[in-house]
Amino acid sequence: MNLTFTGLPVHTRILSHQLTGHVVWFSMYLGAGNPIPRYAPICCPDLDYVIYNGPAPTSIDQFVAAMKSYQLTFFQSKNEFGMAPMIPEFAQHVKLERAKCYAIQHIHNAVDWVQEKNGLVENPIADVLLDQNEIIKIMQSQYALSTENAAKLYQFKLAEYINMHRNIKYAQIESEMAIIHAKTVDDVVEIYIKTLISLGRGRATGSKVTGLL
Amino acid sequence: MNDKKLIWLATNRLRLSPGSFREYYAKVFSPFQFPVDRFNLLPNIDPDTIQTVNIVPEPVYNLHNLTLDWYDRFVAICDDTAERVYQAAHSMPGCTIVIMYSGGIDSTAVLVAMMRSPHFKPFVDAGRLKVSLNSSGIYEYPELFYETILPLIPIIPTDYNTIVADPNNFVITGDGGDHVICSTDIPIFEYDGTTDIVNMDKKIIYNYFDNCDTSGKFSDMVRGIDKHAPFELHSVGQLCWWVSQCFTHQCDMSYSFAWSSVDPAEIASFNKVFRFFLYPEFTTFSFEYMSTNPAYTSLNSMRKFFKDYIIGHTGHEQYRSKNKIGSQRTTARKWHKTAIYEDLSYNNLTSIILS
Repeated sequence: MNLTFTGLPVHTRILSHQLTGHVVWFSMYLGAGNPIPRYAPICCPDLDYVIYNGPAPTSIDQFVAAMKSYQLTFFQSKNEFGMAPMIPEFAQHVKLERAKCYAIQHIHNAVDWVQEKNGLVENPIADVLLDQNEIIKIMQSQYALSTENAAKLYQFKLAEYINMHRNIKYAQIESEMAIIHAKTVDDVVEIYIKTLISLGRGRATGSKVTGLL
Repeated sequence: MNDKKLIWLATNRLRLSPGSFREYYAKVFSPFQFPVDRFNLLPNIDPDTIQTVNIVPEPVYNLHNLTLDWYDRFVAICDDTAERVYQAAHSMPGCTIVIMYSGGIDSTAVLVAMMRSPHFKPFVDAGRLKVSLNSSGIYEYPELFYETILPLIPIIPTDYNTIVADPNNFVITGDGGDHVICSTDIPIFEYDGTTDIVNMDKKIIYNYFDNCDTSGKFSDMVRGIDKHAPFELHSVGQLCWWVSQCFTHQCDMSYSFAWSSVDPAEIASFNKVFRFFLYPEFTTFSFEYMSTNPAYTSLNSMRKFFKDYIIGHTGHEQYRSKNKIGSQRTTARKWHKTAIYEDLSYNNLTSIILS
């Protein structure tokens, strides 16, 4: 099956086989013209985690099927995938590492979502280059407030921004570290669900972590 | 109840055993309503139902010789509870009262009760009373915020863990207000295209339960719970109130501190966190008032006492028809436009695999 990916670039990370024989992070942007460097959480310290930015594949069904059956995949040539079987012991290890990858990746995306939803992305109120007094003047005018109340409102909004930003990021850091130290897939799923609940995603289930294992 | 138990409470509600009471309960009341068997009614029916230390007071009530001055009683209890809060704060020198405010009817009623007291101004002047809110709370009741809260009261952003962890803070919350007057579970039911079924015969709801679980197990369980009610239940409102008293009241109390690092024993003691509507007189009021099968005509009328109390003090008639905003949680569970971003990579791969 040939797939054409259009629209937004989609960023995925999976463990893949390299020509060197290493298993690495495989990072690709489906449908993206030029790969954009993104934050890559490191969670597999005992595997080689070099990031590989690959081109958009023209055929992926074979690639995904191989991944699910724990065959190693690699680039045979520029646009062609090759496959090799994986020994069972290694497959179990890769399964756990994959779970960690999925969990951290989805938590990372969830953090992005929560930040955007709460107006934390490029919010000018927290721009250090701006003059606080000017912002207070704007608030005073727009909300018809006294200078004192406008300053109070500005300080509250700024504190709210910092507070929320910090808490979300702390949750992310804590969950990534906990996932790195997880010993089983079940542990990874539990940390994942708890993290998403703490981020306000109450309907979190482990399917995103285990669905592709 | 330890921390681990609390976290388990918050997360384990998502794992529903097939055929369990919890599974059916989740189908009907959504997975967020996690049943905690407050009165120990289902110990032998469903082992998955959780037993916990109960921090909701045991109800004390007298269903005989009831008077009809319900609103006056409600006002008196609110004012009396505020007085108790100030007395408790007086006995803890150096403590600061922090009111968790969301702009919704429960927390606004708490704030109004505190503001009506003669102790309010001295406490504010002494820097011993603050309001904790987030921006969503401003949008939910902007008039109160800009006219009263902003000019008069120190404000801090809502960060439950930080606020509760401060040894000098005496935290006041409006948790459990829904259970005083009826239940918030009712809006999920529809009948003849309307959700205003609160005063209809309860058999409508049993039909609904039967449809959710064709085995009839869930209906049977609820009928069993129905028999334990302190008075005969007639309406949808009464049945939902009783089910919520049995299963969701205790659960709601654990939401706020499930993630807190503060010792739960301290929180459960009410010395650190004072849940305004858990004051025993409210429970008494709730049981006695609901026994009269109050003539609610709509979901709005269910909240009439609270709104009358608030508007009686603030004069903002427009608050009566306000829209609910999910402002209580810093990160509410609403899925807006960006939800697609989170799911995009996964959904693409899933669709490929399924195809």
